[in-house]
Amino acid sequence: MLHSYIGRLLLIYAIALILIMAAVYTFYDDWLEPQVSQLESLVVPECETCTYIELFQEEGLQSLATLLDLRMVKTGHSYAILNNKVVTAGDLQWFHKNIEKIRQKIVTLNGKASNEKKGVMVTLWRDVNAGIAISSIRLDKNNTLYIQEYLRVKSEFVLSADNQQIVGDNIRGITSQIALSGLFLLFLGFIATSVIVGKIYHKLKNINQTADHIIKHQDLSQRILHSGGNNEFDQLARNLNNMLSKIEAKVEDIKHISNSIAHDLRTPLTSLHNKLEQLELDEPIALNLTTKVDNIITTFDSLLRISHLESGNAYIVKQQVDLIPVVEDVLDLFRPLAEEKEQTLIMALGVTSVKVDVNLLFQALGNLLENAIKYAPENSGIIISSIQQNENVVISVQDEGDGIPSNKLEDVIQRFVRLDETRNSPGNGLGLSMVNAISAAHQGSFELNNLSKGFKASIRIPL
Amino acid sequence: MQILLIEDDKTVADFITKGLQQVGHCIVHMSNGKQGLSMAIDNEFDLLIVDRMLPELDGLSIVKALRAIGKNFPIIFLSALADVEERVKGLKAGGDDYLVKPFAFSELLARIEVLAKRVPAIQQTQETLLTFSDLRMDLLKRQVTRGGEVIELLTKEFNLLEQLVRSPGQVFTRTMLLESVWGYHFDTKTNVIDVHISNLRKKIDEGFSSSILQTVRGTGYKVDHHVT
Repeated sequence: MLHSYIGRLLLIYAIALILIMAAVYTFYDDWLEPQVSQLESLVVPECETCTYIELFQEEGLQSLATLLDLRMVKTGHSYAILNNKVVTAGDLQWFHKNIEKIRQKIVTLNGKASNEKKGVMVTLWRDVNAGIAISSIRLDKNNTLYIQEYLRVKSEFVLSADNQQIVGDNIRGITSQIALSGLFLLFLGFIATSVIVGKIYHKLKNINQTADHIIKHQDLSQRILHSGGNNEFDQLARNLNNMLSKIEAKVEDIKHISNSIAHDLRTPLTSLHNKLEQLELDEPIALNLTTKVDNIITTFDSLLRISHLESGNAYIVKQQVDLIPVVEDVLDLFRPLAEEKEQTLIMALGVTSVKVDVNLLFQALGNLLENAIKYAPENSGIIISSIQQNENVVISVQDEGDGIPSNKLEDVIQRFVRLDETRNSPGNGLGLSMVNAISAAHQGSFELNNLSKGFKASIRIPL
Repeated sequence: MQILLIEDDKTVADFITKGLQQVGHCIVHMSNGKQGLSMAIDNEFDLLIVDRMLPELDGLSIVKALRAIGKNFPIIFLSALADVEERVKGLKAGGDDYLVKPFAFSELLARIEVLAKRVPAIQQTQETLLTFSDLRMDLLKRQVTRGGEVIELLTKEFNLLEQLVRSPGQVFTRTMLLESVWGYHFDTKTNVIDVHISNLRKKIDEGFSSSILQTVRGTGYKVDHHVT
C-alpha cells in the first residue's frame, strides 16, 4: 500500500484529517471563546425596560418621558409619551403627522364595534425592538379621543443576566455543532475518497499484476481483464491489450525470421561438415577443417540458444532439485581437466534444494567451472558454493585466478567479448553470456566479483 | 532397416534419405504430419525419424499418438529450432532421442545404430555381466577386470565404458556419451570427454597387448577389436 502513489495520497489525506481534528480539539476553546464574548457583548447588558419601569414607578411619567426623549435622540427610535389626551413626550413630530390617520383608523374600527360602550382601544407599540408599549388611544361614542398613559413590557423580550448566559451557551452550542458537522463531512469525504481510491487502486493493481506476469514469465499471451465497459480503465486495458497483441505478433515475426536465418545458415555449414567427412583427405587436414567448421556451428548454436533464452521463448522446466548430485556431476565432468592443472575442486553447499531447470543449471555451472579451470593458476583451489541470501540462493564458482579489471566486469557478460589482458585463451566469448541468459531465464541475476585473491562468479536465483 | 522419415523440409529430407540409403537402409519419406502418422500406424517400421514442426500435425502429437496405441519402435526427434530445452518435452512424449538440426550425418547415423541395437528394458535388467574380448564388467559389483586383472575405475569412467561395451563396434559421438553418461545436454568446446576417454584408455588398455577403446576420426569413440 505504501509503495503505491495512491496509497501515499490516501495516507496524506488521513494524516491531514487527523491533524485538523487534533487542532480543533486543542484550540477549539481558545478560538471560540472571543467570538462568544463578542456575540454576548452585542446583547444589551442590562434589562432596559426594567429601567423604564423602575423610573416610571419611582419618579413618575415626567422623568420617564425625559429619559425616553434622550434615548430617542440617541438611537433614532420613535417614542411618544401621552398624558390625558395630550402628547407630552416622545416622537412628537411623528405623532402630530399621524394623529389624523390614527383618529380615522380608530373611527373605522369603532364603526365595526358600535355596541361597545367604551369604544375601541388601540395600543401604540412604538418601539417594537425594545418591546415597549407606552400608550393606548381610545375613541368613545361621542367621538372623543382618549389617550391613556400606559407602560407595558413584553416580558419574553426582556434579557435578564441569566438569559445572557443562555444566549452564550446557545452560541457555543451552535458553533460547536457547526465545527462537528464540518469534521463529520471531512470524515465522510475521507471514507468516500478511500472507496474511490480503493477502486482505482484495484483496477491499477490488475493492470500492474498482468504486466508483472508478462515481464516475469515473458508470456506475451497474457491479457488484462476488464469489465467490457467504456470507462477510462477499460479503455486503458483495451489499448494495452491491443498493444500486447501487436507486440506478440512482432515477436512471433522476429522468432520466425531468426529461426529461418539460423536454419538457413547452419544447414550449409553442416553440409560442409558432411562433405568434408566424405572427402578422402589426409587425416590431419581433414580433422583440422572439420574442427573449424564444427566450431562455427557450435558458436552459432550457443548464440541461438542465448537468444532463445533471452527471448523468453525457451521451454524451461523448473523443478525442485537436490543441488548436490548436479554439482557432483559437473565436478565429475571437469575433474580430469582440473587434474591436468593439479587444481582442487571443492564443493561447499549451504543450500541444497533449488528450483531450477536442471539442464540449464548444469550448463551454467559447467561454463563457470570450465572458465575457472582455464584461468586459475596450477595448484590452486576452485570452490563451488551455495548460500541463502534473503529470498535468493546464490550459487558461486570461486577461483584463485587474476580476475577481470573492474571496469570490464559488465562487458564480459556481453556476447563475443573476450579480454585481451588476462582471460584471453581461446573460446567463443559466449560462455558468460549463456550463464547470464540462464540466470535471467530463472528470474535471477548473474554477478562477477574480483576478490582480494581470486575471482568469483555467482548466479543468484529466487528460492 | 525400415525407417520412416516425417520431415517437411525437402533439403533435410533429401540429405537424410540419400545418406541412409547409401549405408543400406530402406527409407519411406512423408512430408505431412497427418499422412506420416497414418503411414506409421498402418505399416511396420523399425525406426521413426520425425520433425518437431510439421504441417497439419506436429511431431510431439504424432509420437504421443503412436505410443498411446502401443507402437514401441525407437523414435528420433529432429528439431529445426535451436531448442535444446525442448529435448525434455520430446523425450517425455515418448521419443528416444532428440537431435537439433542441422546435424552431422555421422551423429544421426551413430544414434540410429545405437537405437537399432537397443536391448529391450526387460532383458537389460537381467543382464549383470558384460564381456568384450578379455574385458569383463560386473554390473552388480561394479567391478572391471581385464585378463583377470582388477581395474579400478571412477564412477563416470565405469559408466562410459559400460555404454561403449554394451554396443561393441558402435560409434558413440562425444555428445551422445555426455548425454547418456551424465544425462545432460551440454554445449562445450572443450575436449572434456576426450580427457575422460584418455584417462579410461590409460586404465584399460595400457600394458595390454591389444587396445579395445578406439577413436573414430572426427566422430567419436567405440569399443572394438584393434585393426592394424
